[in-house]
Amino acid sequence: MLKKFKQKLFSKNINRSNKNTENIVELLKAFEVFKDIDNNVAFIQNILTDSEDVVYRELMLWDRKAILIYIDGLVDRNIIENHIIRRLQNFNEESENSILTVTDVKEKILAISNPEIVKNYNEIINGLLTGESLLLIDNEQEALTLNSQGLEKRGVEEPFAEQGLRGPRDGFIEDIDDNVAAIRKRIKDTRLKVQYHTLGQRTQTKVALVYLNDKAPEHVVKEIEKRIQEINVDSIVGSASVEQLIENHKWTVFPQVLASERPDRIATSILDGRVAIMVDGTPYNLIAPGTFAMFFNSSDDYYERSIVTSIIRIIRYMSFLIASTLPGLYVALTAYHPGMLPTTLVLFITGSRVGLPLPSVVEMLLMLFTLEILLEAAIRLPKPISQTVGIVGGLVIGQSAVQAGLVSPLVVIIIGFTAITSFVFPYYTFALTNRALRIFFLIGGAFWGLFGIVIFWILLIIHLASIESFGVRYLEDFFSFKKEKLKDTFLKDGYPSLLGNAEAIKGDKKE
Amino acid sequence: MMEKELNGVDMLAFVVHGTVGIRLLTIPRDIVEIGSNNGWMSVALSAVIAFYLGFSFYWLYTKHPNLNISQIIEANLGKKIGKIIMVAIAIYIISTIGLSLRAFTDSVKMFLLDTTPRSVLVILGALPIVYGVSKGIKTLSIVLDLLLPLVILSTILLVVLASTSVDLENYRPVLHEGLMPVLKGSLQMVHPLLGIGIIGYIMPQFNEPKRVKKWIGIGVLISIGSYLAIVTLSILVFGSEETKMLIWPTISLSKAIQLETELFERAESLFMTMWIPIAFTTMVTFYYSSTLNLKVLFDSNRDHLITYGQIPLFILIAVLPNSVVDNYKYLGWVNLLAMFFAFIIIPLVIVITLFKNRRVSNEKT
Amino acid sequence: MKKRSLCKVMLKIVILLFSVLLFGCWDYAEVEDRGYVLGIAIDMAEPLPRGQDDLEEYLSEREIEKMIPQYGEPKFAYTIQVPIVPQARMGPEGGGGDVEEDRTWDLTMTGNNFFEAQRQFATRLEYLPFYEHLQVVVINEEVARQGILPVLDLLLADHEMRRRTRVFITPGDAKSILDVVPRIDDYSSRYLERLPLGASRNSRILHETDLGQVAMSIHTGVDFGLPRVVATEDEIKNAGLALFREDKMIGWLGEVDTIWAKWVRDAVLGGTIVVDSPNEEAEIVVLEVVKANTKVRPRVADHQIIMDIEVDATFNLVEEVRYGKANIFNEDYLEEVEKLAKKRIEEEIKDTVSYVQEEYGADIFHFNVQMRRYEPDVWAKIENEWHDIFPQVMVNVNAETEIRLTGLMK
Repeated sequence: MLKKFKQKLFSKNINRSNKNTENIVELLKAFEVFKDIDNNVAFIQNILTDSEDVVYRELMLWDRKAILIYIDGLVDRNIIENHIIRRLQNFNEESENSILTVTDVKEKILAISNPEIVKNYNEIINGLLTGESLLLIDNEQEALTLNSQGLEKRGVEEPFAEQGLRGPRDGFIEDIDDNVAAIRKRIKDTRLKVQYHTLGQRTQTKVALVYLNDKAPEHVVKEIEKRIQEINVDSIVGSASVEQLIENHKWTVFPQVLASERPDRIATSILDGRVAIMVDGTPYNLIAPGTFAMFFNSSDDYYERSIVTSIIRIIRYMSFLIASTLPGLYVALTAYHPGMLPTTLVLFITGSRVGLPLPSVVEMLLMLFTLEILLEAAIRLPKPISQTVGIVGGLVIGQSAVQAGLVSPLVVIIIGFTAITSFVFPYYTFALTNRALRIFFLIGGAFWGLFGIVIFWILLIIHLASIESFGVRYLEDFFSFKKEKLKDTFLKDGYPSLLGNAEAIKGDKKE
Repeated sequence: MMEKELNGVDMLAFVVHGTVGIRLLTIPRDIVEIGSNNGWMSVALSAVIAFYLGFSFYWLYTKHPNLNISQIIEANLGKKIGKIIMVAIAIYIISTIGLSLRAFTDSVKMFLLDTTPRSVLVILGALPIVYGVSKGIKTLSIVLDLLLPLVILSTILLVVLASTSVDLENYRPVLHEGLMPVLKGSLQMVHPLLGIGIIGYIMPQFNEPKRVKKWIGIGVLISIGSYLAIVTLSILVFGSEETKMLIWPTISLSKAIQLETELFERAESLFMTMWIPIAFTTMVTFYYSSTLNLKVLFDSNRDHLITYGQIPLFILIAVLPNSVVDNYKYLGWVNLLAMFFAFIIIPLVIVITLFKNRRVSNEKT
Repeated sequence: MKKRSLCKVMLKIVILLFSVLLFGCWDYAEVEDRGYVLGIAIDMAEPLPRGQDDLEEYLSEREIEKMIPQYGEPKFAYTIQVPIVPQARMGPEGGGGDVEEDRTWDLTMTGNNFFEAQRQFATRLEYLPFYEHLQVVVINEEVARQGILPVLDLLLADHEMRRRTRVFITPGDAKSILDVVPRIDDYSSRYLERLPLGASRNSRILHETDLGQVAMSIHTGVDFGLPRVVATEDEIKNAGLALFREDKMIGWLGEVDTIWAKWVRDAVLGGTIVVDSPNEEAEIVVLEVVKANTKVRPRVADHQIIMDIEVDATFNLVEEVRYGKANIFNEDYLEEVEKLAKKRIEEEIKDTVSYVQEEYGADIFHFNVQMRRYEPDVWAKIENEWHDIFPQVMVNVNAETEIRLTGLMK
């Protein structure tokens, strides 16, 4: 049986013949370190064929052959040279003792923080691929994996998309260990739990669940854990794929998980009893369950005075209304119910539209379209050019379209205003949501006037109410008339009463 | 068994939305026609009816835990009579939804969309109702909770804005025609108030049934308060004579708003848009109870079939009446049916329950 | 399982098909495609005195205006006022129009009722007439004397009409009121619509004159008054009122009498009253009304209906001609003025009431409403003969006056 496997394995075609990565894992799990070191090397070489960045460094340990294997580029050469190779060579000079086990090497010789004794090939290969180096010694049926990761990391910088005025300036980086540490640094509590999972057969991405044991509701944590364990995909690239894999509702424009690149934001959410899902390789880490109100709170809110913040919060909610409904409302009011506008305003609008060739719906759609194009162009381009795009697009096109008598100036004003209001939200994801809603309400307003808009709003509210994210309702903060819940939604209460308030996501009593 | 996922407070929204609906737009006329300028007393009196209905449903539930009102009727009156009554309930609820939908689209047609075909409005109006019910009771409860402030706010706004054109002496003469018209007028309130029957259907969903009692009371007070405010205001602004001439007195109230600033041109359209959600919430509660009722009637658990199967029925009823007047006629019949339930069926069930309870306790001793 | 999913797909298709039917813009009309009717003027059909030069090449406007009704002879001439927006001085472009050019287009059509005429406008106006911004309705005296219900019927019943539209009566041509080119405002209708706002400064203006009020009065069988307007080429004057019994106009009430009629109706928002100076003969004191409350209570004694009118008024002493002579800090002086004011109010109210009673017999003071409220039993008996009884109603006026503040300007 074993031989058969061996033959198969040594047939050199394993990587090509077995497209299913699952099989390789199963195969690897079946093997343990061989006694003969050459066998081991051959085995590894067969697994990692055509990989010229794998380094096999041969050493003599007293009189025994040893071999250090690592992938160049993933490891810190300094560690390899000074803490592994030099120590081993020095040992040769110093010691006379020839009876040497892997444990001895681990305990007495290496100056590495946490070397691990491994047997299984699955672990070995995984270790190699994540930047650990592997020490094999002849005649030993165990191997050592050594922590030698030395990936180049970006330094801690100010968050790029999520800026604050008074908050801390550090943002997450791409390395999960550093990111978890950033949370640990803020919450020095024994009850802070960090659970690691590895996702993606190919990418082997490290994902951490971070939460406060006593605050996060058990059913929420369990639900998230279950979802993460159920993930069975080839690859995880960044947190967005995790987000999409664990969220409850696929077909909605509303994000059910909040992605933030600010450690302080994640830390406060954890303190509120939410669960952070940190994914290796991205500065955007996730908070679940995400509720509607969360997307209106910026981390700055917690650093400013509560009355001022409350006013700003209310402005944000109003902006949500305006940014989603205003274009539709304009069409509904002018085309269906001009009677509702004050007479002078109606005459003003009429005056601005006299002689325009396009119906106002088409005009509005065209301008919205233009706006989206401008936004896309401005985001993708490097900064200096994007500013030019902004000026050319916004000013020149807008201005000249009005002057040429193609669009009404009022439409330009409204589009500009909605564009600005949609950037009030602290999270870009939610601004995108708003853009989608805008078109939805424009259709409602264009076909059925105010009636359509109200009906669509009711539909939207029902939809929002029906969204459930990890056992917590999306609108959890708004119903049941609970005073505690409102403390951090429309209004922001002062700190003493906010602290220790996990009411917000307690959710349904499922116990 | 379903999960019990509603809290005591949520009953408040159900009670208010179940009772305050599209009838709010027409009720001043119905009441003033009978009670003339003492109509406001009729509304105040109808609070008694509301409390009686609300607490009967509550009491029946405490005697039959985990059963909804249809199941209670079946348990007490036997399978055969129970089914017959359930058919009557089904007719009542579905025609109420249909006719309310009709009244609703009539007013929308009148004040917002003039030439849009009625069927389009009916279908559009039915859309959120069906969608809401299909999402389950918890979602409904959240939606109703969220929309509750709208009922109160729009009433308060109307009172505040229209109070400038109030002629306070319109309440006179007091009780010139005696008490009878007032009493008769309060019977007009039975139909809208029977919306409180939603209690009977959702009680099994509450995790702390005892806490509900308080919120039923508050809910009744809020809805009676809104009706009282609107009826009193129409009497005070228009006087009873003019109110009788108005098809939509409540909307005319908003038409009468006079402000020197040009903030609200045509406030009636504004209020009409505010009342769309209010009409929706009432119909949605009715629809939900109808679904539960039919489930008991057919002893079936096929949610989708029963939920969607009713759609053609009430849409048909909604397009059936030829005119506003016709719709009123049908609404009058439904009102009779409502009185039949309120004053015959419910007391009957209560009496039988009492009787059974006594027998059980007698047997024990 | 499979069957179910098939069912679902079918259902979705059906729903999709249905939803296509929902799309359609039945009520959609661009804001500039509507003809906003700002004002309506109603005249008698025949004499249309307009200084039109009949050019040879063109039809005269008069001839266009004539419409042959489907039945009978046209009775009324309806004029609607539509703004020519680009010509507006206060428009979006900041004063495009020349003063010379017309800023409004006043179209006249003859017809038997408004609905008919309204549809006839379609033959001359490419826009959809839109009445939700209707500001004013001006009615010619002659039309009003025949009864305003037939001409206003549509306006009262149609939902597109606002209850706030103001109604005016003019002794001259109603159209000439709309033809006024106001000096400041762009459109005469807007100008006229805002005139009653002056009621808080002058009681000669009747301010409660909107369509809703007219409808209510006609429905409840109460007599009422409508404001009188007269116009020059570029000015409109709004003072005095036309008296209506049921829906027919029966006469005019002068400006000063209007003041006192408003006092009886508890409708005084402001304005002044003038009394003789207590110090010197032939001098006057002007009092500004701060607060004026009137209560009318009927009393029945020996088959005689008496109206007790209680007036409670507060004034500011604004000016005294040749001030400085009188010591306005003197309490006696103020008391004297108060007494004079009281006397004046009582006399004037009595005068006005008896004038209306004798001359017109129209109960614009709403005595019948008070009867219904306070003497429902008596009212039930005399309800049908009220117009015979009204002239015999006795009036008993009692005024309480107070001068609260003295206007000092030194």
